[in-house]
Amino acid sequence: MNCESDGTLRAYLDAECEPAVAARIDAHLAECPDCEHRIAELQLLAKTVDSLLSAFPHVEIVPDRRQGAWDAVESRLLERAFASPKSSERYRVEEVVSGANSSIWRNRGQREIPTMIRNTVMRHSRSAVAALLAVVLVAGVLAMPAGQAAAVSLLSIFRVQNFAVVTYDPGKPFEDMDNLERVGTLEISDRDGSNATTVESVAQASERVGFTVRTPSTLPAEVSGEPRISVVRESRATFTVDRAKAEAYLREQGEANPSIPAELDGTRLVVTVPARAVLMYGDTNGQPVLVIGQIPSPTVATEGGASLEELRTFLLGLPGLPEDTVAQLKAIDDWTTTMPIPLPRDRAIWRDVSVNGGPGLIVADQTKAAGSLIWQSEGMVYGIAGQLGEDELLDIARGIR
Amino acid sequence: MVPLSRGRGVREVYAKVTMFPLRPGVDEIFAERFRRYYGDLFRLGARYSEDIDEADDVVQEAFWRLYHDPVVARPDREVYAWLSRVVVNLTLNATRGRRREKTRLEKIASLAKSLSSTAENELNPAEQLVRREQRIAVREVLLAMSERARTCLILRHSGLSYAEISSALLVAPGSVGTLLARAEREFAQRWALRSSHVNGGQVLGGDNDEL
Repeated sequence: MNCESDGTLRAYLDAECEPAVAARIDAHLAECPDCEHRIAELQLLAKTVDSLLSAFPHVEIVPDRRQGAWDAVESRLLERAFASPKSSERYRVEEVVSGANSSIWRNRGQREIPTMIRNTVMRHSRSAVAALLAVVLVAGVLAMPAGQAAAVSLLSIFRVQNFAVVTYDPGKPFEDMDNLERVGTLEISDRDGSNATTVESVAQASERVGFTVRTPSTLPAEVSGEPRISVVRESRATFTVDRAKAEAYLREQGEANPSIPAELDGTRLVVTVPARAVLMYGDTNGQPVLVIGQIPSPTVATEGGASLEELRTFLLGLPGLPEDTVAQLKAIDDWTTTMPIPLPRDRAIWRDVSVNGGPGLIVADQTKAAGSLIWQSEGMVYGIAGQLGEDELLDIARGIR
Repeated sequence: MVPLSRGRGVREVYAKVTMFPLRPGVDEIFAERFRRYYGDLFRLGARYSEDIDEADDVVQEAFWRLYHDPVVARPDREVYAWLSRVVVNLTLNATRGRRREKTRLEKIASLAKSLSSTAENELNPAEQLVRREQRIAVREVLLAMSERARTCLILRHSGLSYAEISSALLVAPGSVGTLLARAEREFAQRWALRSSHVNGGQVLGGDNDEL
């Protein structure tokens, strides 16, 4: 007679056996007092442990923390994408390449690039590309020249025609005024999920984003043919001034009698970033080498009791903003048509270029191992970035149809 | 529209509103799984810890690790099992990391923050405290066991199937029964030993009426 093992009997108790095995055990137990005894013991043990573990009561209702948790995880991921070299948390190349789609994110061990530069390239490719699809947010309003007449009703005041670099200190960007919620409320349209989806074709992408997605007609030899196509949903950020909060913040910063004009309370700034399309190309080894993004011009609209002038004075006058960055923003004359591109000081180099007759900006990191190019044409903002030199970027840009 | 729940810097908001995929393909399945599994995992962590904030942090940490682990691209069942294992480990070890034993008053105060079943809420605070100390004892015994053994016990207790457990522990499905039986035996023995020390030689009695 072959007795069953403890493991098999235990599985039997939990009804986790194949039917054939269960039947066999049934039959065996009928004839084997030893096994019958053992299974009774196993059952007692199981019950004992179960009742002890039941000191941890089953939790039926939990507060819905999902959104907050998602925000926190996402912030942390984004934080890493913008990390400065001194930051202790950096994407290591090995982490990034261990990802799912091995055809694109394969191990770069074969390349003869020193680790330092590899890390820099990965990091700056990402931040350069992120800068490509930049949006104005509060910065656009900060750039308003004094004396601008105010319109009180909802109007779109911003359309991108030009770009201007605004540098910030990467070690402490906006550190003290890091939290806009100190002076108002900020809402971002979002689901607690990804904004981006992969689509099968350019045609499908065009349908999703509502404009014709263009593609490059020339590509460098090392870039392989088919891109991965993603569309990113439209997003909107609304900032509403909260006078009470702002006064509290100012008091905290040392102002004895802060006074904020009543009409500022509740004034809203709405930034809409339209749906955009992103094409990602790999080289013949499958490593990412080129990203092309396109987006209709973001728009900024205001509504409320305060004039744009008052809103600007208020925001610019807040303690805790980095002086140098604010000065640069103020210096932008044609603020209604200029998109500020924030770049980390001393870590990026840039110059103005012309693309198909329109204004553009080339940005590269110090090693020039990667670069990006952003330009505007007929209301669409384009950006490309990759491990390419200026000439290659310009060639690609001029060939986009 | 979703209001921001915790303070966020201009830079992060900027990045978020302009966001494009950080890791194409991964971002989407990661977000989808977060949406689907956060609730269950939060319940799992909350059940074995005393503190909902800690449970929240633990689950966030588990997802953070998921994003960077190759398992993120694996099928749902594997991912869920992997996440469950990480949550269980982090939860139990978080307890171990607590430096100072709280005073009795602090314990009673923090009971308000913990989640208890309705049945427990009907107990008076002193009784709840006793229950809680029981939980501390159970956790101690669990922590004295190997990670594999205690994870097996908890995952089973929280309702995972043998298939899911085999996935979480990276063992053959056929071995789960054996692991479980062994772990239960070990747990019961350790518990008996502990009770005998605590109660000055009495194996049964005192607060341990369940035995």
